[in-house]
Parts: sequence; C-alpha cells; structure tokens
Amino acid sequence: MGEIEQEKLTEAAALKTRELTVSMGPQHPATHGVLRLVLDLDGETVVKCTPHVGYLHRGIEKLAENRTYLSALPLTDRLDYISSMSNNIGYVVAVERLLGIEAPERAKFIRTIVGEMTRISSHIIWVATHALDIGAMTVFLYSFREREWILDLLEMLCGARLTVSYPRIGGVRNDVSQEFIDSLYKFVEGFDKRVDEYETLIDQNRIWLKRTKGIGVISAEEAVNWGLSGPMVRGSGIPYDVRKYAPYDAYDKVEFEVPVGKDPGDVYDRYRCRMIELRQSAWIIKQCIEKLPAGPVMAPDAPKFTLPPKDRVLKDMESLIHHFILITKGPTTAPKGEIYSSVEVPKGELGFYIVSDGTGRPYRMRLRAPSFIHASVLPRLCEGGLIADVIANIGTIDIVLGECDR
Amino acid sequence: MEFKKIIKTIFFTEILKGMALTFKSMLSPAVTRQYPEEKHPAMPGFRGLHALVVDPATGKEKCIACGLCAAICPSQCIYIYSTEGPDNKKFAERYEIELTRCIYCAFCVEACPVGAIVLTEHYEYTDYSREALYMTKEKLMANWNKYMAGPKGEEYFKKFWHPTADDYRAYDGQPMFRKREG
Amino acid sequence: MITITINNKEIRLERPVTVLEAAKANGIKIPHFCHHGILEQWGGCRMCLVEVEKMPRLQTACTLFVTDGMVVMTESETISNARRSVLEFILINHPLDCPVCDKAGECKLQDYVMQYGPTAGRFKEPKIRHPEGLNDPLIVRNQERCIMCTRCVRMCSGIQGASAIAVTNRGNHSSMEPFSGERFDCEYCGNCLTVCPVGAIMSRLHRYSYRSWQVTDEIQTVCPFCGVGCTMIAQVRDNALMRVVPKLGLGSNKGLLCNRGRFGYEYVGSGERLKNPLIKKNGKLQPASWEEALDTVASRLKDIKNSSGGNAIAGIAGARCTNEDNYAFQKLIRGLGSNNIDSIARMGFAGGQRIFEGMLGPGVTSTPLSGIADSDAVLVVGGDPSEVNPVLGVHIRMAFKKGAKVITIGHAPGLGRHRTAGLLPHPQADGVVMGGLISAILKDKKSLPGGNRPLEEKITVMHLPSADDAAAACKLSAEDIGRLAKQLAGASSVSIVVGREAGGNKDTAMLVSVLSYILNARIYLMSERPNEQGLVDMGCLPDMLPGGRPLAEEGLRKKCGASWGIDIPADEGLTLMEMIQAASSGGIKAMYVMGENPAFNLPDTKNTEEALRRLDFLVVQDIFMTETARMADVVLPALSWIEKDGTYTNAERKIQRLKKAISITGMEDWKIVAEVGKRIGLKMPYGKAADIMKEIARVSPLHAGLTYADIEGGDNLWPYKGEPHKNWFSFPELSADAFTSPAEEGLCLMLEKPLFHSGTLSRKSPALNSISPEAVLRLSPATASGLNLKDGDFAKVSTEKGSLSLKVKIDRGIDGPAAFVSNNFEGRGLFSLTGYRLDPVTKSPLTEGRQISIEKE
Repeated sequence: MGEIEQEKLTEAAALKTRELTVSMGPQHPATHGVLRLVLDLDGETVVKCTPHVGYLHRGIEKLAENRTYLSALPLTDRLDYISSMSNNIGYVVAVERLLGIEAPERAKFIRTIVGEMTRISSHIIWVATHALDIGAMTVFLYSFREREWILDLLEMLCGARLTVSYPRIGGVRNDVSQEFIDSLYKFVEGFDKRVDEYETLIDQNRIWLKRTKGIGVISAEEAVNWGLSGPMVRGSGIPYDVRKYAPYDAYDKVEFEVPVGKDPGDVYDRYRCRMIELRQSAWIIKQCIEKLPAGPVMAPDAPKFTLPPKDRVLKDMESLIHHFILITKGPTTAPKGEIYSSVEVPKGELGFYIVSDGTGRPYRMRLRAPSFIHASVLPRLCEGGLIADVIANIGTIDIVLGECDR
Repeated sequence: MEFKKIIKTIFFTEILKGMALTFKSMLSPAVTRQYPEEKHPAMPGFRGLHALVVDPATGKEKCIACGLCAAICPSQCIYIYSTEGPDNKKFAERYEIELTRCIYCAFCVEACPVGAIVLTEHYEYTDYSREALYMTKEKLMANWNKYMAGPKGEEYFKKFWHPTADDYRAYDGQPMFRKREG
Repeated sequence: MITITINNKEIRLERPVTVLEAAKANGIKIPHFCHHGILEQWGGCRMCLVEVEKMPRLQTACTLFVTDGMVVMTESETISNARRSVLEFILINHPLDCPVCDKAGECKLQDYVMQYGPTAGRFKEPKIRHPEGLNDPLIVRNQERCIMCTRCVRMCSGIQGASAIAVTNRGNHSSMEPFSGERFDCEYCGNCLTVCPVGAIMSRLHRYSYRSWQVTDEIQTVCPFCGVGCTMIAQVRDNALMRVVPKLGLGSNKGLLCNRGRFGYEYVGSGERLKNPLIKKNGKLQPASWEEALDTVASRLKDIKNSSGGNAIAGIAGARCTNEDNYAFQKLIRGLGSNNIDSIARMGFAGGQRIFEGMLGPGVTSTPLSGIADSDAVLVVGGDPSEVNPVLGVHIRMAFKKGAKVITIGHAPGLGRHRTAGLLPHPQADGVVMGGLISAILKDKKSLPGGNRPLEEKITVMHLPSADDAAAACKLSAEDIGRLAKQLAGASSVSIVVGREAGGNKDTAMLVSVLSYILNARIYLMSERPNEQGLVDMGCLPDMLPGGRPLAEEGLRKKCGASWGIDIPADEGLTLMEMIQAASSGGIKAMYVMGENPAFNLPDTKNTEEALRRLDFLVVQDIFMTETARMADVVLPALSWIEKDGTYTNAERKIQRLKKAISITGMEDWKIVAEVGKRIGLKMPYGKAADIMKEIARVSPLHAGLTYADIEGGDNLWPYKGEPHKNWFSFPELSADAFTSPAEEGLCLMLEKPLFHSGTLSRKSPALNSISPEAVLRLSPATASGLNLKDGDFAKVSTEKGSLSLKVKIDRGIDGPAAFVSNNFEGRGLFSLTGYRLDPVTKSPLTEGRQISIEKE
C-alpha cells in the first residue's frame, strides 16, 4: 500500500464514513415474496449482498414423508405457486418412474399442454413484474389480461385456478373438454401477437435497455459452475433444457427450439430468452392439440397404483380393497429404491429425489428447487453493482420463495 | 443502420410506437372485471365451499363415516367422530371441516366411496371469525341444500367424480382437435 | 445343523422348524392367514404355499418342516397365481364392508389383496348373506367377513381352553358359532378377537367409534385389574381412550388378556368419577376447593396427633395405587408418628409371602409366569387361578394340555376340565390333605433333600397325618392319594399356585412351604390386586420399611428416618383388622384411606362399618364414591391408572411401568399425599412420579439405583439392582388343630371370586356389568334340587351375622355342599354375612361362620 492510499484511508477514517448496511425485505415490493437481502453499501455500490431465505419454510419435504404418494401431490402445488402445474407434473413423473408405470399417450399430451400453459402464465407474470420493478407499468396490465385467460382455462379444466393438483400418478385427474381445446387453440393462435405487443412496449425502449444491458452479467462457464438452469443458464448461451435432454411426457413428439442468449449473459439476454420461450410454448401447445390422440387419460395397466373407477368401487370387492388401501396406506406395493427425476419448469430444472422403502409413503423426498439455487447466485450478480440494479437482478433470476424455502 | 439508430434516438420512435399501442388499447373495451359488483361466474366443477350430500329419499346424510376423506386429506382438516347408530349402523356423530386449513384439492371427493361429499361452486364465504369457517355436519348439509340440491348435484357426480370408467378407456365423442370452419 | 435354501439364500438352522418360521426368522415374508405363532398349525388357508424342489406340488410353508438340503422358493409365477386364486375365492362372498368395518386399515385380508390379490373381481353372482350377530353385549360376529382360518376356534380350545366356539355347517355355508347360540356363554377372554385377521369377530365396546389410522398415540402400560400385570396397549385419540388392546407376544401375558383387562377399561370414562374434593359439612358431603380440602386434612391430622398421639392415626394404602403412591403414603403416615399402616394385602398375600420367605429364603415367590406352562406338575391350593388371575389360569391350562399333572385342592371350577385330580376337602381341612400328601411323598422319597436344616428338623417333628386321613377328608381312597403323591414326587418341575385363602392361614402356608421344599417346586402367589406386591415392597406394612427392611432393626430404622427427616416410631403398628378393632374401641381416632374400600372389602362388614363410623376423622382418596367414601369427612378425588405415571410390582415381583396416556385435570394419589405431607411439614418435593422413584432408589436397598429407564430396559426382575434382606428365617409353630378336619357338616358358605368382577373398578365398567349384572347365589344342581330351587328363583341366605336375598344360579362347575356368593355388588356382598378370626401369625382374617341356611322366597 502506497503512502497516498494510506493517507486517503486515514482521511476517510477521520471523516467517519463507513459502509451502510441495509436490510432489504422480507417485506419489500420488489423482492417477490419474502426474500431478505442484507446489503452492505459503499455509497450506491453494493459491496456485499447476503440473501436470507427460509421465511416461507413449511417443511414440504418432511410433510411428504408423512403422506401417501397420492396425497403428497397437493404439497407440490405450493412450491412455485405460480406454476403449480409444472411442479405437479415433475412430481408425478418422478413417482411414475419410481413405480415403473407409464401414463397413457393422451394423458402425456394433456400434461404437456397444461405444462406449457403454466410456462406461459409464469413467464407472463415474470415479464410483468420485472418490468414493473424496473419502471414500466403498462406491460403489467397487458400481460395479466392473457394470464387471466389461462387461469380461466385451468379453472375450466380442473376446477381450480392456481393450486390445480391436476396431474395424477398414472395420468391426469380428468379428460379435457371440447370447449377447453377449442378455447385454448384460439388462445395460442393469437398469442404471438400478444407477445409482439409486450415487445413493442419494452424491447427497444431505451430506459429498458439501459437498465438491463450489461447488468447481472454471468458467463457461460460460471453459470454452469453455479448450477444454474432454465433461462438463467440459457441466457448465458448454454442450450440446456430438460425437455430436450431427458424428454418426459410428450416433448419427444413435438418440435421446439431452445433459445439461448448471446455472449455476455446479462439481464437483457435472459429477458430475450423468456420472450422467445413464450412463443415456443404456444407453438408446443398448438402441436399438442393438433396431435392429441384418443384414449384413456389414466393408466389402465397399473391397478395397484391408480384408484379404481368409481363405478366399480362399491360393486366389486377387489376394487374396494384397492381403493381403500390406496387412500389410507398408499401404494403399498411400491418397489423399494430411489429415483432422481427432473422436469423443466418455468424457473429451471426442478428435480425430485425420492427414496422408497416399499411402503405407501416416500421414505424421503428431496427437492432440487431452481429458485433456491438461483437465489444463491444473487450475491455474485449484485456485488460490485449499483443498488438500483439489485432490483433488476432479483427480477432476472425469477425466483419464487415458496419453492426456494419449501 | 447507424442512420436509423440516430433517427430512433432523436425522434423517440420506439417510445412513440409503445404509446400508439397504449392509445389503441384505450379505445378497445376494458378487460378488467369490476369485482365485487361484477362477479366471476365459477366454472362447473369449481372447487369451492364444501357440502355433505343429503339423500333426498331420507333427508339424512349419505356419508357412512368411513373416514377415507379424512385419511387422504393432505392438510388433515377433516375430523370425523363416528359411532353406532340406533339401527346398529355406523354413522358420523360429528363431521367437521376446518376451512381455514383446507387446501381445496378435492381429494376428499375422490376418496369418498359413496359420493357423500362435494365441493360446491360457491366461493364467497370469507368471514371475520374462525367459528364461521369451522364447518359442522349441519352446516355442511345446509350447504348442499343451498347450492347443490336437485339436478345440479346429480350432474356433479356424473361429471366431476373421478376417476370414472371413461378415464380408463377411449370413448365415443372424446374431445379432439377440430379445425375451425372457414 | 440343517442347511436349507430359501429364495437362493442359504439358511442354517439348529433344529427343525417349519419353513414359514425359518423364513420369518430370516426376514423373508410369506403371507399367511391361519398360521399364528402361539396357535397349533393347521394349514388351511393355503396362502403360504411355496415351491419346494423335487416336490411335485406347492406346499404349505406353515406345516412343512425343513429337511437338510431343502430348496424353497417363496415367490414365483406359479405361487403368485395360486395366491391370487386363494384370495379371489375368499373375496367371492366377502361383503363390501371396508368403509364401515372396524378392522379396515389393520386387516390382513386387505393387505394381502393389495399385495398379492387380483385387481378386479370376476364373480357377478349374489353373495351369501349372513346377518350380523348383535345379540351379544361384548362380541360382535360378522360371519360374512369370516375367511375360515379357524384361528379363533384354535385359540379358544387350544390356548384358552374354553372350547366355546366352533365352525358349524360346511363349505360356503360354514360359519363360526358359539355353542351357546347367539349369545356367548364363555369366559369372555376375547382372545379370539386378538387373533382374528379380519373383521369377523370384534369387540362391541368401541364398535364403529374409530379407524385404525386415527390413533394418535399408542401407550404400552399394565392392566389395572389383577396381580399378573398383563402388558397392554392403550390407544388414544384426542386425549380420549379409544381402546385397550394386547399385543401378541408382549409381556409375561404374551398378548393374552382376560375379560376384565380387555373389556373393563371403560370405568375410566365413567360419569360417576369423582371430580371435586368433598368435605362433610352438617353431615353432608359438599364440594370444596382443593386448597380447603387439603388444609382440612392436614390440620385435623395434626390436631389428632397433638391431642391423642401419632398412634391414634392409621392409614390404609391402596393395592390399586402405584408404588410411588404407596411409598409417599407410608412416608406420610410414618411422618405423622404412626406405624399403623397396612393394606388389603393383609388378606392373604403379605402373610403368605412372609411365611414362604421365612422358611425358604427371600424372593421365593419371584417366579416367572412362563414357568407354569413348562411344569410337569401343578398343584393349586386355596383359590381358583382361572378366576382370580385368569391369565395365570390359562398358563395352567396350557401346562395341562402339554401333559402336566394338575391337582387342585379346594374349589377351582375354572380348572374343572383341565386337571388330573380335584381334591375337595372341607374348606378348613386343606391342612389334612396337604399333610397327607406330604407324608405320602416322603414315604416315596425316603429322604429329605438336605439343604435347609432348620426346616427339615421342623418336618421331622410334625405329626403328619397319614394318606388315609387325607383320603378320608376328601372322600377319596388312600391309593388315589398315593398315586397323586407319586405323580408329584416324580415330576421334575413342579409349580405350586397359592391363593389368598391358603396364604393367609399360617398352617396351610407352612405346609405349602414344606411341599415346595421337598418337591423343589416354584411357588406362585395369586394376587387379586395389581400392586399387592408393591404394597409389601414399599413398606406399607406395620412392621416393615421400604425394601422389605424390618422396622425392628434400629440401624435401618434410623437411617430411613434420617433420610426422611423424621423419627420413625420403634414399635410396630397395627395390622389391617387390628386397626378396625382399635377404631371400634376408640384407640384409633383418624384414618386415611387411599384407593381402598374397607367398608365393603373387609370381612364382617357391619362391624367394620360401625368401627369406621366411630372415627373422629376419616379421609378417603378414591376415584369413585365408594361405601367408605360416603362415610368420610373429606373425600379426595384421585386419577385412574391410565391417567398417571408410575410403576406396579406384579405377583412375579416384576416392576412394570404404568404410563400416562390421557391427561385430565386432577391430582395423582402421590401428589395429593405430598400436598398433605407438605402441609404437616414433611419433605415431599415431588414434581413428577420419577422424583419419587429416585427417592425410593435412594431409601430402599432393594430398589437401590433403580430408574424408569432400567425398568423399561428390562432390569425389572427381583431383586432388581438392589439387595434383598437376608438372614431372617423364621419358623412359626403349627397350630394344634392344623390336621383336624372340622366335624361340622352341611351347607358351607364360600366366597366366589367372579371371573368378570374384581371390585370397585369392575363394577363401574358397563361392559362387565352387561355380562354379569348382579350378585347371585351359586349352587350345585344337587344342592339346588335338594332345596327345591330353580335357576332364577330368589332365595334368602342367612347366617348368624345377617341375611341376603339373592337370585339363584345353578352352576354345574360346583361340587359338594357349597353355596357361593361374591363380594362385589354393593349391599350384596358375602362379607356382610360372615365373621372372621385373626390368624395369630399372618394376622389375616380367616373367614368364620360359614354355616348358612337357605330359604326359597
């Protein structure tokens, strides 16, 4: 250390300037839930950023150990609650793989449809709130118009708008209605135009560009090292998507592209990725509707794991016993073993690690929650930047604390 | 390209484009629903307030107090206290649902072997006290009479009591993609 | 060594067992319905079929014994097809009952159908209907659900020995029926309920009131009814007792229970339970606050101590209370400067044990229950074990089934079909028969064993009656007695089961000791209450301190007193009946009764009641308003067995944990006693039951260092981790008339120990009352016809003490001229008819005045 610097330091000490610690959250409109950041500020520069999570911890992993495979399903609704369908799908796909059963073709297509609907609704919320955080309010109003349409469709499908609990182990709860198919097709046909509208509002907007370009930069190599997934890793140029790498449901039967961002991997690149994904999702839904096969929506060949049809329950002793045991004890014939299975949810890769000890309840269920991993990268994105960009960074990682805290 | 950019910067074209869109939307009809003046009509099969099915023949509950709904309930909010009735049959002395804990997954409907519980389409039942949100057997049966009695209830079990035999097979008239005319 | 292979796993076995057992021991599950560890093999359900190499067909694993080199497969295509078919057949006629069947959720059929069964039925034909058997108050039979595994029948005839049920009809129409028709006429042990794998035979007590998965808590505790101390599981939901069930294989009862334990627990929820303390004001008991009641008790006791001395105060401890309760209680009474403390154990248990220990050494009654079933000969004296201690009785029956010689002396109708010989002398002539047996055995054996010199000297000077005398006393031939003596002498393992009436009489107790000595037999003491042994061990005796230490030894007394911070008076106190006598003569002015009902349970009821009435101050601590409590000046409500923590010591001298399963407002007995103790200045700083156990472990050398963890860990057998008191042999003298048979002839009044009742608790159990609602006069058919009485007639029974009008019940199990009356129902107890005399050594009251006259009404 040179003499001059030394002098400056003493001077600074004499002026009694010090770093300011600001606690941002857990109640803060821009932290998307109950995230708390402790920021050490040197003027407007963030010196240190410490995320505190756990305010929404409900012990879902532990709760699942006390529920049968069937009744643990609604718990997953409450992970990333704005894309509950995707979590449900992730869970049932994992359990199906564990039990060694397969959903019928039609159910797979329906699950793909509803999964992509959820992706659209989640990304819409993301773009709406992200823009709102940064200062553009109009997008919020427009995008919620489309979200409402999707929620109405989900309500038509299964009677609930948000916490759907629609997929089942071995299929889905019920078949889709003609009205649903028609309405959804209409929606996806016109959806590209809606995305154009959002882009008109912000894509080239100079304020938007100033606030997003060159902010929260993370290189491809670093993104992989941090364990990022979904648009977070794709924004840095890695074309990683579980739907392509380990297809589940009907993703191997539809065409779609995996958008990647350009080099620096900043907030803007991730925004672009998500906007392209919106269009891709609509395209997937369109293909699925067109290709939707006829057939059962619940696996007819897995009677030890799926509830028997209601008209047999009180007429047939064998069915009644199976119904009774599946409800009270769960699928007690589940094979022993463990499984890791992941799906691509709007936030990234949602993984379920389930250990079965041969009873009807999971011995252990562990979640690989993308939001948790993305929350951990926040200091890396924020430190050294300005405090105003913390907001942009929180927005860009797109976390939902329900999933992060579990 | 450079020229275009300069024009854009000087004339705020992208901002003007955005404003044009806003202006256009201003002239189109509003999409916002004015709740509570304007109610959202619940779709058939909506998972709302619970009701215990009343058998029109006897005026009593259909429930046989088997406890399967309480067994599957993920939030464990159904309490059943059963006993032996005067006719030596099992019946639910108390059947209670704690609405504040319920998560409206409708698994109870699925678990019920006799079709004795439903979730009605009614969704406006907020209250200031917990007592009002603690459903007893009497309240639940009143809900049925109020919201589901008659053909509506019958329809419910035909359409929303899953899994049905149709869920396990392809059937005639299964909804498929159809090209729109024209 | 046998080596077999099951599912490619090599298994080595010491001795030949069945394939099923071998598989089970090695963690391989084979499904089965009819097989049960404690029942005979049957091989009827066909669920356990396995493939054995070189055998052409599938074999039943439960009946097939292993042979060296056997290769078994338990899972294969053929086997699962067979199992599926078996289950499909069972389900053809099974009703669609799961939603309402109480067994659902813990039903073996359900589990197996889920695991191995077909997923949909193929039979559309109507099912065979069979109406539910609802005519019995305790047991519901639903024969539609029955899968004909016959476990219940094998339990009833093979283990319980009651043979009350059987399979009737054939094929599809077969069903399990009691011989008595719709209503059971059996011992109501309910062990058939335990073994039923489905819901075909179930308890009516908790019918339709629970589902197996609603159990929020399962607590292992001990039965509150008798001294066997059966282990049982209390199942709780929302702080309410749902049901009490045994667990097969658990505890010394191995999962068997009797009717009282299984069906009697409902008294806990009785509406008649005392809730508030009561104080007598203006001659009437009126509710009072705890504060007021405790203050009253403490101040009155202190006043009486100051005015009349500590010896004017007496305490009766409770045989239903825990060790902790009783320890605290005797500390309180001794703290008041009195050794007048005794209990119902005085009625035969404590005195008998003292004589046995005195003659044969300490701990002689600490004999594990399982030894009975393995005996070659069992001798029963002075009571009917199948009624007093039913589970002990079942063990005797099991021994008989295995070929042991069972000989009873005195009335024991419960063993009527399970004994080699039943000797029935006059109730006061047991001594003659036993003396005769001893002399016959000695003649056989020629010499004494030679281990216990003083005892042998004693035997040689006894003027034993000859076998002929004994034969005459019980109307048998001398050869018969000789044969029985040979059988006893020839047996390598002999058990002697001693009832209250034999234990209380010093002569019979001495003869039992002699018999035990010359036969090298184990002694089992029947115990009518759950904690009689605990009373003895906790020092609730006028001459003993905790741990069985005699009060007379000054060093021990001083040490004990020092640790309590008091001076324990040196002179021995009064025994139970002496206290009553002293109360009636005015020597005792105050009495504190905990968990006992002396006004009803002591002989010569009228005089006892009179004596209690004379007291200046009577405190009763109980859970019900008993006859004694009605006379009390202060009544303190306590908690029942399921509501408190603590320990019981059973007749085997095994300490067992009692665990709190439900919590209600109120105080445990020890807490009330400690509150009173604190108010009179005693150091009783107990926060929980374990604190008292800590003090017991410090004060009592027998229980030194004993903790709850030790007890639960299995360190619960006498002498625990402590030291028994040694070297106090004592040999009382035989009475002059020990071997004389009374001349009196005619009808003799006997105390019935009913199977379904045991006193205060049982009579508040609706279930037990439903099968045995009232006091009856039991007569043999011959006696009844001689008196011109029929079943259901009313008869007036009179003695010199009084008379009772009772319903006549003709009982074919009774032999000889005896009339049986129980002492269980209020106002209708046998003790209101009889007098007593005190045994000079044991101080037990021996019933007198058995001559009765019976008139038809």
